[in-house]
Amino acid sequence: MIAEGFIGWTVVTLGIVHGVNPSSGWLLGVYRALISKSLRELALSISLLSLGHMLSSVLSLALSAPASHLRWWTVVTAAAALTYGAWRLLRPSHPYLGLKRGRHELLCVGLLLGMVHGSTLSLAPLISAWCSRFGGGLAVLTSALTFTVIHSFVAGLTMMVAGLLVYRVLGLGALRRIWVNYNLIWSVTLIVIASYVILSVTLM
Amino acid sequence: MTALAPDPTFYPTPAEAMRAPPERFAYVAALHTGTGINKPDFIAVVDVDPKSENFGRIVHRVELDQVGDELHHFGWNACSSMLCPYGDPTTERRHLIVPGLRSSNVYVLDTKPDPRRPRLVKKIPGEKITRVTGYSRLHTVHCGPDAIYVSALGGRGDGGPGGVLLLDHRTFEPLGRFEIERGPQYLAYDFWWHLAEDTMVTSEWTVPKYYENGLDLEALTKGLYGNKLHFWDLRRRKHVQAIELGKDERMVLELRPLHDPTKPMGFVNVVVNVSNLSSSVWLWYKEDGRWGAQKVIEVEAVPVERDLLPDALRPFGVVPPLVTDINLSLDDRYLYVSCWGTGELRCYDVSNPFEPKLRSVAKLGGILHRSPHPSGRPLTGGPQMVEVSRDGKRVYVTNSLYSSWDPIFYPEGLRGWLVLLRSDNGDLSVVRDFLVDFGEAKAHQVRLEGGDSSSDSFCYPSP
Repeated sequence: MIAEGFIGWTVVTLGIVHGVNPSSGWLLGVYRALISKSLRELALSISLLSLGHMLSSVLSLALSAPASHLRWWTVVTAAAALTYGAWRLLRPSHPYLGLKRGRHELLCVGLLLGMVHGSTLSLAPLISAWCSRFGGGLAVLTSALTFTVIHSFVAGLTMMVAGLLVYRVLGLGALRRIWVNYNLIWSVTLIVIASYVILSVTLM
Repeated sequence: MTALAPDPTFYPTPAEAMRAPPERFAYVAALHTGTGINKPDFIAVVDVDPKSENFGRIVHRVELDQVGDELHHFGWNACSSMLCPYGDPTTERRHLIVPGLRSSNVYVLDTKPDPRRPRLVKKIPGEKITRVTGYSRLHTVHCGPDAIYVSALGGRGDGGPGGVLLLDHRTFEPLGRFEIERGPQYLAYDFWWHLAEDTMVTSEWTVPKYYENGLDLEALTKGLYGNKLHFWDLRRRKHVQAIELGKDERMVLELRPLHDPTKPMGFVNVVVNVSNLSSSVWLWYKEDGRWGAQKVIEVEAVPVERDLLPDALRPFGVVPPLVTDINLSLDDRYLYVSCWGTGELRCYDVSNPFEPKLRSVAKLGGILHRSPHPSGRPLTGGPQMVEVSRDGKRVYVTNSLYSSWDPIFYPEGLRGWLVLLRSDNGDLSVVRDFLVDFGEAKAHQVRLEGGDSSSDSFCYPSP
């Protein structure tokens, strides 16, 4: 049986871990601010990228909610997350998404980044497990939606704080110190969450 | 290969890279191809640490595993572009990607754990490269934020089209060709990019059948050597625009975009104007969404008595400057220009890129000057490949152009050398106690430990 508290706290932690990763979008915001020499651009870009990230999280809800009364679906989403985590661990990739983007494109870039970096797949098994435990229904769906929004909000806030810190306080030189191997962290996180969900669902 | 923290040789801005510690080693492409010596080419490791007892000596050679690769240009697997918003800076700068211009093989050298003794760790056969990408005769290597990019001069046979191919960052296996829509582009040579503009720039020499067996004068007069710059959408991989530099301007070679990402412009050298044998440097720039180019430096041919000229040049009665390579300091202030024909390394102040000012000239070898090294030893050939240290204070120069072209201009023979010059704010002086003699082997491109002025690209402007 999966614990309620576990899901809540994991969703918040995932938001922080995802937001703090420079590749999740805030570095793109800092880049745009530096090129246009505008703090406003930083705030706008990161907001749009976070919105995109929120869409990628909502996508995980769409992926998990409709079939959430089926326990095997939880296992399927968790298995997908596990596979994706293992794949990213073995074959880290970082596609070229382009730097010359109009502001209106940032929403899509945020969505893509969220999906590529595993945000969608890390939330899906958790939400699926949550819904399946309570047998679906509107109330469960609402709380699942709340989880998604909390996660996105935390991630967006973290992105904004990280972007502001580097742009205003630490300077770009800090990139050389604070950029750790997020791909490794994310891959392992995905694998751990997915394994935990699979174990708790199948052994309950 | 993947570390926990960013590689310490990556810098977000050119200004920060200029403060990097000085290089201790230089890696130099050295060739036996075309010299008559039946030995493989090699990468020479030269000790360039003035405090070392081996300063100015070859301390190690990495021999390749077959004869006739014809090493030319090479580059790093990863560089400062990994700090760009989509990069992965935990990919280490440790592998030298060394293509064979004649064989199309790609060799991978590992400079860790001992940068003094790199090891040959992988060879991708040329046949495989051609099977996967359709390209042959590999040339320039640049480390992109998503993959390793390599230019290729030939297609499946000895014609074109040449283009750009991608290698996987971790396995170094060929991924495929870069171009989705190549438009009118057929000839290839060098390439680089403006990452902030999502733009790639490529240049034109000619196809293998017109250069591999020597300079083909008939092809040159027929206009079969390139005279264009091509601009590409780096993200959509499409041809965007071609600029013809002029009917007579032939062999458009080395591309040096400004390192400052807020300045979408760069320099390229044209080896010869077929009407008067002058050489030139052009500036390309973006204006109102379109790319333009204009000649900013012209170096004229120098008339001399015909007896002093090699056979090929006697009918003309002049020494062409043959500007075959250029290099731009990381602060985009000084442009170094090799005049391989006359024997000059020139430094231009390009603070205003539209109006370069000649700052200083160092004379080394050459058909015209035949200047010896300050140590008194003679120098065959002339200054050709030029590389600038990240701090902009040291300039490294080698003397070979291309195996089958060297004897046309220097029929008396050419011994490979590497010379070091100091640049005191663009004022060049040749270092007396540094002259690396490669003997019968020829020396081509130089790469410096930790990166140099033509290895790294930056996404962020200097503060």
